[in-house]
Amino acid sequence: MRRVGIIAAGESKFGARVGMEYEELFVEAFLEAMGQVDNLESKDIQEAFVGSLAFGGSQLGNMSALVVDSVNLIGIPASRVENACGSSGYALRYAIMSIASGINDIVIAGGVEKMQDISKATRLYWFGVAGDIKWERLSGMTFPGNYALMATRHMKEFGTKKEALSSVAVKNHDFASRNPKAQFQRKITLEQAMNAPIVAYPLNIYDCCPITDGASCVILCDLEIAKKYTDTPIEIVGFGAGTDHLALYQRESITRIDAAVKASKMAFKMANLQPKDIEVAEVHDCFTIAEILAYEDIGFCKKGDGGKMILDGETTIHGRIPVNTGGGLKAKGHPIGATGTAQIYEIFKQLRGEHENQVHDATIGLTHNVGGTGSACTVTILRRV
Amino acid sequence: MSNNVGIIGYGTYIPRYRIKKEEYIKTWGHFSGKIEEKSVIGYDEDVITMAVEAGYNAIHNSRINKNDLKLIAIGSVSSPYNVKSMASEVAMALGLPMDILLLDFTESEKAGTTALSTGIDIIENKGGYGLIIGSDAPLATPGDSLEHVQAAAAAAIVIGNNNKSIAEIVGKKTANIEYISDRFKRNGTKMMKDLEIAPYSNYAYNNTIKKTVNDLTDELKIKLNEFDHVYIQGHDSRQPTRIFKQLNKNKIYLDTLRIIGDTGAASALLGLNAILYYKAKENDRILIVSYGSGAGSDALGIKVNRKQDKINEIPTIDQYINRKEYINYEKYLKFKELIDLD
Amino acid sequence: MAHVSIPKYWKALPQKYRLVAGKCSNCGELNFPPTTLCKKCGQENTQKHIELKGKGTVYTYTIIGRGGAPPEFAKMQKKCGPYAIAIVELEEGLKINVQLTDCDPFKDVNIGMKVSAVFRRIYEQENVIRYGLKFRPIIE
Repeated sequence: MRRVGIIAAGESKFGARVGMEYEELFVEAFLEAMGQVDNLESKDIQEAFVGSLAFGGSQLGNMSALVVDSVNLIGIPASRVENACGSSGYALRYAIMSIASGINDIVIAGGVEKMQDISKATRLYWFGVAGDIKWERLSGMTFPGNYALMATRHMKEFGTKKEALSSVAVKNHDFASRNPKAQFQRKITLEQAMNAPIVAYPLNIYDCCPITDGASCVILCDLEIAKKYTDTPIEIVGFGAGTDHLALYQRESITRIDAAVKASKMAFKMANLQPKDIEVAEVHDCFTIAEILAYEDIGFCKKGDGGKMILDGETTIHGRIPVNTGGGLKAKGHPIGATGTAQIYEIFKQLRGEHENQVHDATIGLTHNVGGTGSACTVTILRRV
Repeated sequence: MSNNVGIIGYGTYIPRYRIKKEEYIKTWGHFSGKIEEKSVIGYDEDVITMAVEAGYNAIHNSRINKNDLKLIAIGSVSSPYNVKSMASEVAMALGLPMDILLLDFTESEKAGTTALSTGIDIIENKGGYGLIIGSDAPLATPGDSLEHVQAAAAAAIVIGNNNKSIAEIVGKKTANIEYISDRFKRNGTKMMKDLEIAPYSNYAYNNTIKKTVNDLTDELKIKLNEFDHVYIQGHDSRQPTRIFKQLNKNKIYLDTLRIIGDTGAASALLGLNAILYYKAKENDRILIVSYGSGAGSDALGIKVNRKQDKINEIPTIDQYINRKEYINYEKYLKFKELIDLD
Repeated sequence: MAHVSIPKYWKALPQKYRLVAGKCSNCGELNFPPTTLCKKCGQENTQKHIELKGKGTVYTYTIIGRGGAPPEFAKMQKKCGPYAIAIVELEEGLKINVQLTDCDPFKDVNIGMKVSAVFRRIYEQENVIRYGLKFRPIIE
């Protein structure tokens, strides 16, 4: 298997991008990436893996053709990869495999999502398409409701406090306040975070990520030739993935995302590393509880100690392992299909020393991207070469 | 005369919400009818969901194998559909055999006893068991007098061979008179109407009921006052007391009318369930009378063998009556979807 | 629209109305709904259909607040306010995800409370009423 590197990463501004369609959003991300490399022309790119839920359904079919056309790459192999919020993490997985196997030398993996142009009633339908329909959605469950069920149980089993959940939001908003691409650039206080209106008890609006328009794009290549295009390529040293039952009640545990546990173990084994080796991470905080679960599932702390970890400040910039320095899904935004590679964008910048919330001398980073309520997950470990 | 068929068991369902007459007085300045409070159907309920729960309770209280049921007969004037059987939905929900007789009775507010009377004749002929349910939640325009007392409940009875019965049905009569209804609900509308021609409707009420009761007492060769407990369907707890001058008022059972309200086609069967639960002792004689605009009335004579044993997990009528949450008039309108016109 | 069609709803009727599960005659596992391949031992066509009792305890819950309800439940939420959803652990050992009814979601619901199944209207679509089971606190 060949070694795979990332030579560039780009991302559009996240938020309510009125008037910007899939094409324009993706171009923004693509151009930023292309601007980071020398000697690379578009025609050198051999394949495109585009992650998207195609939220709203306006281009449910053949989205990859639309996207590839927008960057003048029509003709190359391309497809839409879908695993709900875990789409571009999986797009990256296939991109890596296509290079590692020797099939391709240079490919792009990315994602795009347009969510803000859809009416409220239609949006609510689309939030229900990626989970268990028969029992979860048709009992009146919502997407936040699912994570809320996990939160209630976690609070009961491990004594996790509401404060811990809200602290995740405070931290991520603080990081986002220095990120010009973030959807929300305002800090929030713990009091604000704890007392906002309930969305699905115990989660309130500050525990939930927003709906976001955005795109991300990563250029990968065979590590052997990476230095031709950039002085500081980042190597992908481990990558894992997993799936789980759609419905929470079918799973072995609802205070653990097994797909993430599996994906992490796979990635660490491949990289020959352990959780304690990770110096900076981007995890899937679609809801604050999800970040707490991520700490435990990846192995940054013991099962049940996630709440303690955030309250002790271990994941702030000065902590043992800073998490979501770009603002996370909570404050930077969550354009569903684009999130996975948008997380890679943050770690890429961290490992090259180019981040607004720079972790001092970070050389090993990790991304954790979950689909739906945990029915799919990818974990990727990157290292500065 | 049906002396082979009796009541094997009974079950009830009453929704949890109640509204007091004081709420109406606050809103409308007065309250039409003599009741204290009434039951209100919940937003996620209808006559079918209530029928299912009452039916479930009756089947379990009867300790029969549900596969031995030969018919389901449901009486209601508030079916959510015109073209779709209530009985078939109930059969599906309860997991009953689908190839049995599934009968809906919807002709008037006496449809519960129509279902019972028809069911008795069929079971007498075919043998086996029958599930009879009166389930209703009549609706009228807020502000109309008849609406004040309208409530919701379901009452179910399993009938079968007298060998196993807790009470025997010793006789039944029906009477109808020529009548141009001043109380009706037109197809395609949700609201019941009553033109409130009081002397006219009282005439029909009094005379139809008198006829059916007299026919029954003649046949059974007993006097009216020889009944130990009497239930006469009415809109409130005053109406039933004015028909028979000679009847000892203490024998007339009024509690369910007084605190549950006017439950339409469920009324007579609910009264029967209440009497069997609260009042009746071995060998007591019960008279159950229904009335529906049309005009028609059924009278049934019942002799009690024994009280029904309680099954632990099946709530009794008393448990349902005591399970209550009071709501105010706004919430009442919201539940009944009377507050917006969409 | 991405809604659930009538035939799709009808297919699940035995589960939605009567909690019919498939008990594997090979390994004893309860499959809900019954499946062709047993989820535990993988044997084909070994399941006998049984109706679960509909009694259990609340394993975890949430309360859906204003504006968050899926479209099928938007009207109900507008009229009746927030409602609770729970994962209920049934007596038989299975867990299912259901809406709770006949209770105040903020005051009455807690982990461990005993609940039982009741037949209710779930929602309406294309003018057809969809019935199913909700759970409520047991009546004592």
